[in-house]
Amino acid sequence: MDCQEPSRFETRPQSAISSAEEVRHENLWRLARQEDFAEAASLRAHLVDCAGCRRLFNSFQELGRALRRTGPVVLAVCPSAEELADYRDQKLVPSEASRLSAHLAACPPCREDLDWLERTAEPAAPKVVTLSRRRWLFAGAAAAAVAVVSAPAVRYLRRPAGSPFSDLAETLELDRDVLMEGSNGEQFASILQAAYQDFGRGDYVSADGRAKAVLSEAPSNPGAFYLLAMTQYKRGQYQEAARLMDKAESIRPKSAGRCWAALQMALLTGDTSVIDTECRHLSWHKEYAEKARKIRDAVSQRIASNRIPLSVLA
Amino acid sequence: MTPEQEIDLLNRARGGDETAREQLYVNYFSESRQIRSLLAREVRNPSDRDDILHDAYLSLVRSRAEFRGESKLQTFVYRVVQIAILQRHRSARSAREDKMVRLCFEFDGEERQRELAIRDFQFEEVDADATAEKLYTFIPEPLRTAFRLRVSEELSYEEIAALTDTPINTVSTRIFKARALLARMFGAGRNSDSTAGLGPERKEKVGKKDYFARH
Repeated sequence: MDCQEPSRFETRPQSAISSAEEVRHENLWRLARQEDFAEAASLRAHLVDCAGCRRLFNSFQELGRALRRTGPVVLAVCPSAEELADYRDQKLVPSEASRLSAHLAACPPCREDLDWLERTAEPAAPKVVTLSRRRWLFAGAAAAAVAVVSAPAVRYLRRPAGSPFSDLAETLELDRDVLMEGSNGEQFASILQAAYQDFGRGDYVSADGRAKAVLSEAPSNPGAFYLLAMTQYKRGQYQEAARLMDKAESIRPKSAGRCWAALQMALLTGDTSVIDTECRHLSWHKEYAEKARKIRDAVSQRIASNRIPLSVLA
Repeated sequence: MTPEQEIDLLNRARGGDETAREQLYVNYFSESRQIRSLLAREVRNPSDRDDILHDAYLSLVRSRAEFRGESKLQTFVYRVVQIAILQRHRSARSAREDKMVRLCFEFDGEERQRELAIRDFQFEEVDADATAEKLYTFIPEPLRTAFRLRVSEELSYEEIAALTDTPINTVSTRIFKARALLARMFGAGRNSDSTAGLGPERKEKVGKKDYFARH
């Protein structure tokens, strides 16, 4: 029994109620319905100290209200908190995810809950860079010598706040053309278009919901992954954004717009391997080639001159 | 701890090993910096924090969700605590809602299977009577009839017993079960008995009750 004082709920001889837990429920139910009975006053006082009974009492009050209401009400039949968390973590089977997406589009309280789950997600533990300062200098020099930025020894582990290249990143906006690119023609175009509008209004939860709905039908839709990455980017979750961007890229690489987005996210996470890869990809695309070259030069230069804040190496 | 050790710890705690339970509670719940910080940020009332922590702990120990060591146990626990906080927030918000009845299904096992079969997510304006009808559909027979006669018709236990030709103790138990089932949709904990967890003495021993007061 979830009560701090279970002895107060003893059964009585000749009573219809045969267990202490049933007595407890019955008395709390009567109290919630504002009935007058012998133990009411002392039970009310007990609620102040007993969280278990208080919770049961509150739920009985709510239940009683729901059964007695009159007039029009909004009825929301919602998924459990765990299902929402599964949805967020993309653990639901496609059919369930699709049902839940549709519900999210209609139910503001669930959208708030999902947003709360996103906002309070476990912060990624910073991985420890184990290079000593001397080894770091050596690695930096080696990187400069080969004039690339992808040497594994100098790969920065992803640290959004501590990326030494974040000042090189440009602000990203969701690009409609990139979103629609390779999205199986008309089939998902209307959903992605609606998601684009959600995104424009700052309603990232709805945009996420639509992207997940697309993925539940077409798990390799690059536009949907790009959209999910962008909503994470807007929330400041750069590592997750970069991970999703990586997925979009692995499905259909060499899209200039997505390469550019992946590069900007990598600058924010400090992932030199991705910076190097995307800069190379972008060198083939006229509109980005020059900017990518400048970024690569700046990153190489910083590594070569060791102008990396020591805090990054801590 | 290696992943194998963490799997073993959780399995032993689920199997009833008191030492493992205490170690799990202290190291992964009450003394975890991330969990403490999450609770401090998201739960205003310090005494609620203790309750949520204990609910989350019981939920983990009783859950059949498999932990395969693919993530750290601390990550697994963090998610369980996050869900417990959200459940609490949902109940609090529902209590403040005047024009909405929100039913959140926090069931597992057989109840979950039954609920999945009849549930359809919903968000629409309906007549209040339809809400009550909807609630009754979630109760299996013969619990439904007993509960309905008690609540809608306001019959006494004796009258229900006579009407349904059922022993009075059975009527009482049916009403108890039906009400408890529905109450869970309105935030009554599914961990309403604490025998699988840390009992009051045990809680005291691991310092649960005054943990947040000290930090």
